[in-house]
Amino acid sequence: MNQLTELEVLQSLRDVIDPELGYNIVDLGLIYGVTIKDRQVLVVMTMTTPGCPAANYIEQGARERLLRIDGIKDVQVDVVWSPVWDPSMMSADAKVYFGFA
Amino acid sequence: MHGVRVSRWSLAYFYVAIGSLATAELILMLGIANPLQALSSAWTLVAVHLTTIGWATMLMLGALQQFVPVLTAKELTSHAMSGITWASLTAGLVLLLLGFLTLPGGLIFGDAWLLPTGGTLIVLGIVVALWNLGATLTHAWPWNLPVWFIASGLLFLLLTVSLGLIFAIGLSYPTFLTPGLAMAIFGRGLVAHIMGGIVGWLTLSAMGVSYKLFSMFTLAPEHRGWWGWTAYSATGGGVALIWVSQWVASSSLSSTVGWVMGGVGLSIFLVDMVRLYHSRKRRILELNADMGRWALAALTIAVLLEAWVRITGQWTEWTLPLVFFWLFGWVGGLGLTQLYKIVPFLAWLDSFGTKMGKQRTPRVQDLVRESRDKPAFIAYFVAIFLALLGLAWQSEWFFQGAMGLALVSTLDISRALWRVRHRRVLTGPPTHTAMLITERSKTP
Repeated sequence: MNQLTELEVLQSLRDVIDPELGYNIVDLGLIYGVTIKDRQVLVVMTMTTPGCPAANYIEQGARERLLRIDGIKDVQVDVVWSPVWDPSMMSADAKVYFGFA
Repeated sequence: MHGVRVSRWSLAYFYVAIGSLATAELILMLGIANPLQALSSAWTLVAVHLTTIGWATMLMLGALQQFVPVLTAKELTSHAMSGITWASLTAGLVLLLLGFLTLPGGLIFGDAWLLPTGGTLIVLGIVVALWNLGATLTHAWPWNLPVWFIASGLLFLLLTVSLGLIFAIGLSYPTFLTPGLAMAIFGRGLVAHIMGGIVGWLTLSAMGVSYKLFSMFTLAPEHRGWWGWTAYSATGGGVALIWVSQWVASSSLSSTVGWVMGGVGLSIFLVDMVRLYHSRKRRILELNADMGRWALAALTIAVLLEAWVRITGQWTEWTLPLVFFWLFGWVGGLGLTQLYKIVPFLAWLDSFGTKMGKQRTPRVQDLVRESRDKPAFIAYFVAIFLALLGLAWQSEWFFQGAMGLALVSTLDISRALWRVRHRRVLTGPPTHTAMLITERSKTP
């Protein structure tokens, strides 16, 4: 079985979108960190708005998507609020999409 | 859990709100309610309260059931209480409207209990809403700027419906009030009722909602600093001063100060909204944020008109057009445009929330067709402006024609919202646009 990489995790997480902004959570800059150990994945992420009713679905969606990768044993998603998310954290592609790159 | 639960009752509030707006526009278009002939006639009172309670208040309270938890990041104290408020307000509104039709010029004879019973149910519904929303807000102390706006708005809502209940009892049982008290209540109290409702409740709340929603939807800085707090203090203080001045003898100076404060506060708010839009990161706006600017433009026109009317002393001639435009252009326009985002968002959560991660999901904006629906919003604002002119020129046919256009626009927007909830694609695959976005992002 191939070694699971951070890149592979991030590519998978691009299938999960923030429904309001309509863009994937990786390029929005919501993923703060990915740790892989013994095919167990820890994702540290944030949300654009605390309290948003979509937050639980995004968190659960990220977990569900990663569990669909072959060989993943466990996924933990930690949502943090510091540092506070800011549009400047978006990827270059996302900035172009929203028109401020 | 890091987000709040989805409001179970907001859509029920929105159904009543849209239905009330369309009904009000219909009876104004047909001339059944004719504000140019008699403001206090039975059918005009029906149209006014369909608009203020049925449309604007139900819309705002429905939005707050979801918006207050988002704003405070605290769960709503009770979803059951949201339902009780909805039921109490809906039943109260129906009885109140029937009660107005017992007045001269109406359809029903007798039944004096209708008005006070309807008013009582409305007050009870508001008390439950205040308990529910208030308890949620108290858990979020210290409050941020939008919460201060909304909390102040809710206080004015209670004052407004309480005064309304006294009117309802006084109209049904004239001996309930002594002649002197009746004169004060139906004279100065009416100004307090209108100001407290339209500016104190609806406008302060709409300002708070605007600060949060527009910064969120346009990716603009949320913290407004001096501008936001000054807008709140001046507008809130101004309307409070006007309200209190109605009950104090020799209060013309304090009332004038209140009007000036309110005008300054609203002007600062509008300038701050221009700053907010100017500093936004999201250059390509979605339709709700784009057309939301038209509602802000309507408020700008209303504020300028109010200043001109007060300076030139033409208050009597312009009260009706001004109140109408404030309600339909600013509050109504903001409500319709933001429903175009809120309803698809709730529909998305309902249909796709649990599917995220298991399959590709569309974006919220994929559930609507903006290019198809934009003309309806433009037509609505044009119609309301034409209706303002009709009222100013005292031309009944012009006003009724404009209300016809407003009705058609409202029905078309309602159709778009209905389609979001009932489109077949909701159970199908994500749209091509959403697929493209995720695929493009994966390309190195």
